[in-house]
Amino acid sequence: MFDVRVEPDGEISLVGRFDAAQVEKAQAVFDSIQESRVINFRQLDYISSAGLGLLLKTQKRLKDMGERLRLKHLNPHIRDVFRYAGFDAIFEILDE
Amino acid sequence: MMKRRFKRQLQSLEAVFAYLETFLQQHRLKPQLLPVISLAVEEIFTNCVKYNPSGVGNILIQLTLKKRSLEIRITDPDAPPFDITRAPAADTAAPLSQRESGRLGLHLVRQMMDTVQYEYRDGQSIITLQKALEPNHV
Repeated sequence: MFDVRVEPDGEISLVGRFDAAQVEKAQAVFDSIQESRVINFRQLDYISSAGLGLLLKTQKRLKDMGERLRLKHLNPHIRDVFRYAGFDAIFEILDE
Repeated sequence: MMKRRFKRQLQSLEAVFAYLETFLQQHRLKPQLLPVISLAVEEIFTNCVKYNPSGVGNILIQLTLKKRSLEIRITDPDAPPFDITRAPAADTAAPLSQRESGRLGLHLVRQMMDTVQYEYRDGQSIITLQKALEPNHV
């Protein structure tokens, strides 16, 4: 199960399991981002390279516009995945 | 040992994850192992789907609990040879402008698993992953 929610305050919440079968579902939301946003991982259990790829693509596009994604509430496993992928150097992970 | 075949499509992933979870539960392995092995299996499985979509036959996933490790064997029965252990590594230190997401999946498999082996036999690609079981995994 996976969902992407745009919250009233503009934060984007990822929910459930972001695997390769879910990229299309997330694509429309991420492609619509035109300014800096916070992505909330509190309800996300899992992410694979497919999800990481979409985050990367979005970050690159936003950087060209002077904007960026910042991330928060990554669980310990997802923090490890980000570290292995070197994504902790290209995304600001907000302190809890 | 448990084995099951899955259709060569991304929609199979949900069933793949459920299968992995069932195995862990049946062998009373700790749930924190699930996202780790799920990630490794997903990356290999989706590569079979993406890079060999017209391969004939379903993908076989075998799970074996050994004395101190979990062995996962993923077999594509109709695949061209491609040794993933020789694939170039992803550059995870590159700056954002130079980062690409290709090869990231295999990089994560190598990070998550203790060993990754590749065999090519009779037109079949056989990838064997081993994950050592820590005391907090059982």
